[in-house]
Amino acid sequence: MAGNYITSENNLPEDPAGEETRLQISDERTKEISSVRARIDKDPDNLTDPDTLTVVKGPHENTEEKWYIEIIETDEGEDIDLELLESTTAELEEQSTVINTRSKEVKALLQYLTEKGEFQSVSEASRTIMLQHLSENYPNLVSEYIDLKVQSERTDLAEELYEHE
Amino acid sequence: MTTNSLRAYLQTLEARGDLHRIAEPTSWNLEASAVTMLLNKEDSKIPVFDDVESARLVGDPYRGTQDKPWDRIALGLGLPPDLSAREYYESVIDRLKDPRDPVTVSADDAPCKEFVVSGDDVDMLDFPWPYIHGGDGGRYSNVHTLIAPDPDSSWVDWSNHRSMIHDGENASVLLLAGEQTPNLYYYKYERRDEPMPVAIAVGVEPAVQYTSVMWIPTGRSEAEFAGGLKQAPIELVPAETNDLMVPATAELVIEGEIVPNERRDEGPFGDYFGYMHGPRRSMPLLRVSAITHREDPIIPFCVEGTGVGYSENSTSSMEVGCVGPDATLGLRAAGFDVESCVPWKSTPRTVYVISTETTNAGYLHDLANFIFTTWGMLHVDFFVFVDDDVNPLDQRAVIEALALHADPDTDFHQFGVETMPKVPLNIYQTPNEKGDVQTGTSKAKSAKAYIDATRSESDERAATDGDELSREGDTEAAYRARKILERAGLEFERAGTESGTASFVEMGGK
Repeated sequence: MAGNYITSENNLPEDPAGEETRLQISDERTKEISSVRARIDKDPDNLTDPDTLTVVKGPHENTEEKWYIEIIETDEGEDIDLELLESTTAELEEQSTVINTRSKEVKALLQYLTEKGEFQSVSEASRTIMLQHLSENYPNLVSEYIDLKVQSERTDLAEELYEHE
Repeated sequence: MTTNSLRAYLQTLEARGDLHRIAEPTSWNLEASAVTMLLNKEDSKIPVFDDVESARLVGDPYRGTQDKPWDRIALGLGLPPDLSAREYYESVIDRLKDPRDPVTVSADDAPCKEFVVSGDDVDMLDFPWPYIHGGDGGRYSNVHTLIAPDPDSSWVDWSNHRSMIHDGENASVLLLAGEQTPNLYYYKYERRDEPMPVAIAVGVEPAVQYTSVMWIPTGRSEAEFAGGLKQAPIELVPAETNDLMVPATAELVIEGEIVPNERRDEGPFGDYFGYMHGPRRSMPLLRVSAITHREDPIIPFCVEGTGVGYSENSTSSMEVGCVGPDATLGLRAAGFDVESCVPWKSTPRTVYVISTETTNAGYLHDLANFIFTTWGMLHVDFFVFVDDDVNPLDQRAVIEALALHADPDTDFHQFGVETMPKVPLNIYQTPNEKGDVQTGTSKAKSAKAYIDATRSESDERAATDGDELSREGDTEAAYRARKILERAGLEFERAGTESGTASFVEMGGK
């Protein structure tokens, strides 16, 4: 991506200058709207590779402010390899779902959270925290995986119904 | 003669010399809408942009003329465009009373299946969706038929909800709770955490487009009423990626699902009130699974905002030409003795005028109560009731009725103070009154009102007595005055005296 972008003040966090944030922007030329991870600032010198960002505000978004944006990651950069996701998911049908990892530090921290009562077990703690991390950092991957699971469950159900006809 | 497709309709316009074909390359980015806006204001021909990158655009194809907003809509139904409003309304009502079942055709016989793209190959940005107003939040499809099924019955709703294109496979759809399809999404699908399968048929045949904007009752099939309007069955064909049936002659069909609990920005948009409406709101996300289309498809669009004041656009003309007759039929079917129910021409979704023979206060209250509580009425703020000899499309006549017969003390009735549903688009609403921008639904509430501008018995007596006295004297005096002026050299036909005093008793007699 390169060029001029537009976003709404509503899409920005409270004090966005210099902070890494995820926001929805539209490309001024193509009007394509995408979600990006970016840093924004009013001073282009504070950013490594700045593009212009018009921030619109007000009840009818007809007031404009000039900002700059450094895009770190775009939606397009997160394209999901559906074939790989499908094969990985299919392989797991025949395999154990246990995740093995060795780390004294991680285990100590999870054990602490469990004993403090935040989680019922270390397994639950690791599952919850990992899923939370995946949702926040790989939203497209999680979304595609959910779509795949829903599709697969529908197919299974349809096959079952068909067999019983 | 039936009109089977948007193309056939445009050919009819062209044969009448009523189409501008614009061969030079035109940009979807404000250029096509600017040209259309100018033609709307000039009351000129309908523009078809033949070279807009990969496809074609047509600007406000159903815009009527400023004198007869229904005339091109009539052409789309094979009716003469010069019908009076009364004749046109009654013709449409007769057809709506004769619905016809749709028929299914095979994909081989469906023009909308000439090209089928699905899965990873889907890219909505392959098509020149117009960017209509500077300041809009994105590019829009806004003249189309959104097809969505009720998950609990065989009912399928057709409606028209603007959709903002985000990227190759995502769009946000303006779904305001209180209307039929939005209610299916918010109160059924989303509550069950299920996606709502949909299709957006773009560039459909006229009868399909007309019924998509009409107030067809919940549970009734727009496809059947479209068949009635067309006087022939609508041809439907199965969609590729869900179980919906779509109009076979559509220029382009977007298939997909509106997913639960996901929102994307929608708006701002220069809407039908004639101003830039913002800020953006969070609206449900349409994820596209397939696009099918005709070769070199023609995408219609409406320059909303131009249908206020004197100018017309597709939306404003369809309000008068489609919603008006349908609403009239709806009131008659409910047992009310109305002559006609007509949207206010220059701000067509704000005020309706109802002419009625029965005018006693209790009857008008029942009528208002029926309208406000039975119909959605998100958009319409108030109704004006006039006598059946007042032409509701003649705004001067309606204002005259208001001025002469609506007593500020007794004839202005507020209804449902602060409790009635309200679309959050009116310019008089503050941002707070428009509700939380983060919600997909409208929290806005308002009062509604109706004005009784019918003659009371005492008005009637005074008018009648006055008429008898003045007419007798007038005839004699007018004759003498005319003779004096003729002797003085005045030519009467040029002075326009006759037309200036013409009666407006006949509705739409222009």
